[in-house]
Amino acid sequence: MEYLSTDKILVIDLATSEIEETALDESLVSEKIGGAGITKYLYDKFQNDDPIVIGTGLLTGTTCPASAIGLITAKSPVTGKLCHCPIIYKVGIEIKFSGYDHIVVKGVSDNPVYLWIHDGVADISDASEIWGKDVWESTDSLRKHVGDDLLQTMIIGKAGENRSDYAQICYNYWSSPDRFGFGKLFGSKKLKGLAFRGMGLIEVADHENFVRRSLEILKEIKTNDFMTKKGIAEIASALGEAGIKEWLEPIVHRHSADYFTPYATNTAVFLDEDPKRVEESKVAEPGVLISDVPALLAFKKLGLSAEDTGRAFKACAKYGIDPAAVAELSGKSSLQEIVDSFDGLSGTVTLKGKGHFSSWCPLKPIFNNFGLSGDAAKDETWWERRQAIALIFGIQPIFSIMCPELSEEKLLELSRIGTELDLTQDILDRVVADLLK
Amino acid sequence: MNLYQSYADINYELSQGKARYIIKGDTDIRISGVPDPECRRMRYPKIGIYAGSGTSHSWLWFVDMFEKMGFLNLFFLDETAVKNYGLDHLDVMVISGGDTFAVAESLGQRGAENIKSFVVHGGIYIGSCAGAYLPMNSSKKPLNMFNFIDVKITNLSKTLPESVRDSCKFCTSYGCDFVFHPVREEVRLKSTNIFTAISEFNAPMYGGPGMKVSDTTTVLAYYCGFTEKTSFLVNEAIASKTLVGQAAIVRIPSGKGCFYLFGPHLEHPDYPYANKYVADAIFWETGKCKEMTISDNEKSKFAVGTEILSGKRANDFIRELKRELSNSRIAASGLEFIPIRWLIGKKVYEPEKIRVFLESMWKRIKPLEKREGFKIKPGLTEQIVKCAKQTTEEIRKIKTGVDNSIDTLNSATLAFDLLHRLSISFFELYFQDPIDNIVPH
Repeated sequence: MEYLSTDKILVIDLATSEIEETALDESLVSEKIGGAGITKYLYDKFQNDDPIVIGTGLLTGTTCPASAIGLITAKSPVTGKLCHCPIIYKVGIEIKFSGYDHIVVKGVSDNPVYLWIHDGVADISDASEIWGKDVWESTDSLRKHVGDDLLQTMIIGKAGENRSDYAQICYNYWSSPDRFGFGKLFGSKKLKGLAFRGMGLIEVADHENFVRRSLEILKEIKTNDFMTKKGIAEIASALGEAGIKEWLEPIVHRHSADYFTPYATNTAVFLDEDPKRVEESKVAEPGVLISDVPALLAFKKLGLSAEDTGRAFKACAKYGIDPAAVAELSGKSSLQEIVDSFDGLSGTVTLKGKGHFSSWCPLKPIFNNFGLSGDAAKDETWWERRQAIALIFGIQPIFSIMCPELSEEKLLELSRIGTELDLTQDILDRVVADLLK
Repeated sequence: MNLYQSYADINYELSQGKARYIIKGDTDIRISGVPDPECRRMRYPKIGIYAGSGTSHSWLWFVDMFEKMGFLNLFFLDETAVKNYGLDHLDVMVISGGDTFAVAESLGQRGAENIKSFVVHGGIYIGSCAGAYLPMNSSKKPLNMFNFIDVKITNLSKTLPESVRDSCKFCTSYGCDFVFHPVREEVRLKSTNIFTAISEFNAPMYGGPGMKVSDTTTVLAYYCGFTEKTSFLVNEAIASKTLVGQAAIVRIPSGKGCFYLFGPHLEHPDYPYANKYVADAIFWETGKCKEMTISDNEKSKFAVGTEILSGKRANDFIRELKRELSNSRIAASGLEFIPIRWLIGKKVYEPEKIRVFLESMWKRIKPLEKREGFKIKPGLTEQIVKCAKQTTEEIRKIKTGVDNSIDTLNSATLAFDLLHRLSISFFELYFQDPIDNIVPH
């Protein structure tokens, strides 16, 4: 596969330490397009080995607006279903830049390991020094070892090592969309996580046209009213949550967007320093980045202050546990009690929809109504399809439910320009149907 | 036809033993398959690139240029090679930029004598920037070991003019005087001879000399002006007075050979006409029959290795090398956000220079992966991998040092030394002859 691709699929067997690379066939892309279409194909191929498949969308890392994400496809150890979890922030694109479109991890390691993926090289590395460390310490340790603060990580904390059902894979220092207990799956394989760094380039078939069309689409997107808004509080407010902006505002430091995403879906709050401070922070860990709107609202509903909510998120991220599960199942209403509940957490988390896609992404359209009538069943069908599309092409899922301009037709058009493959609506419909069955 | 491809085609023919002749016309040189009374029979030249202590990264520009133009019979020299084995098996020796004093110090008296002997017996010395300063007469130690040619520099002064920017690269002390650099980046040159039909062309300067010679017939090009890309380190009037009308390229005969001195870097990859100038000079000069003290086929210390590495062993070696180059690149890129510089000898180095070495090797990994095998000196692969691992370690140490506010000069000095050694070994491997009919191990 020459374009929009590294042309490499990596298969790692943790039991035997064997590492194999195969080419990404054009025929596979013609049939399955990319992202979840291909990760599901790879999962099915290796399913007897209970694999974790890490992938990237066909458009991930390009000039297509919001082409920010990768994804994890695996069987949830909690629900038993095949699930797809977005890889957000800057982690998703780094997978492709590190030299691989898709990575299959199978088998169980005898000893704790992490995978160091860099510039088309894959190393199974000893994780004994970071096993037992929290997510923040682990990411710091890996960045220090490698010598680059731009290293991107997918890491489990104690929750994953202890195989909690609510263990999350965290991205760098922050909580993730993982609602499926994938952290438990990593822990069961003695896989502390993955680290990515690469300076690869992505070739585009007709790059002038691709960029031109990307910028045209971006221009259309920018006519939206949401371009004047930023952050998670605005999203929550658009979903009908009254008073959320005023509640959160006193601790908001800044907002940040995933790669090339026109809306900043993440908000950083300062907890140990004045968020209005304009100088470089004097505190080592001043705050936390939040992307999880449902979890934020769940903590607020427990009666926590914004500051305590921020601290709860920070504790969850360090421990590597799903903050939404903690908020729903702890039954506690004070910060300390909530943190103390991590180890003994039990109960069933409510997963919405068919359970294939993460309910970290709000279940309704945001800022735009996409012509939906408000019929719950139809809305759910719309949401499922929209998530599938986002994870096939590598589009930030929250942005995909706020931006009708990023239509299936335009994503297919860019894909055709970028690959010179005849990718049609029929093919896309078949891939989506396969994902949703 | 692409300029570089046309030279690569000629060199390929020469390497296959085809007869080609070079003729100096009134306005240009011509290459022909048919001899002419005025012509010289061309040779596929053996070129030594000096990459030892004191050199910076600009010798890599010669590597890129020579590779693009098909000059693939390359040898990579450090100070030990020059001092202990001499240069007589070579046709051309190039020394590019760096710290002239450090280069002189490391080559020492023996290296100086070997260079002199090489030229006197018919060799061609090409010195660019620091390499241009090296053979000039000087009373200052350690340059006084060289003293091969009487060329004066025009950018020498007892009192420094005022610097208008980049003060750390502006000057170098020279005894009681200063060598100052009036400009960086692009300058305009006017050619006096017929190595190119283009009478004026551009080339970049990064600390090279303006020159004055008593015999103006030895001047091949003058500085004739500046361009919009010129970066002035002094007042433009002073820069003009120092350089314009002064010699930028000179050719000084010595015995049966000659010294070519370039003020600007004619080897820079962004300047094809300047590169052409160098290639034409090499073709013309090596067309004379050089007195060889050893046979053309014998390469002494540079003899082709006897071990053949192929199959899985070759793949494993390249993968190992790729791993370490990647680790080094990543650690090096992590330094580029940090405002740090090191003064090593008399030259300022920035973190970006680390990656210049690494990228130069990295971009050649794919072609190496495609090779069937390698003829190598025993132990070379282990040496390369060990050096690559040490390089990664040292670059990471620099980052740790910076993060902990510890002085990193020693680590940086060692890192650049390792990069030189690694690059020399790497390019020795890269530029060997292709393997045919490898017997797999």
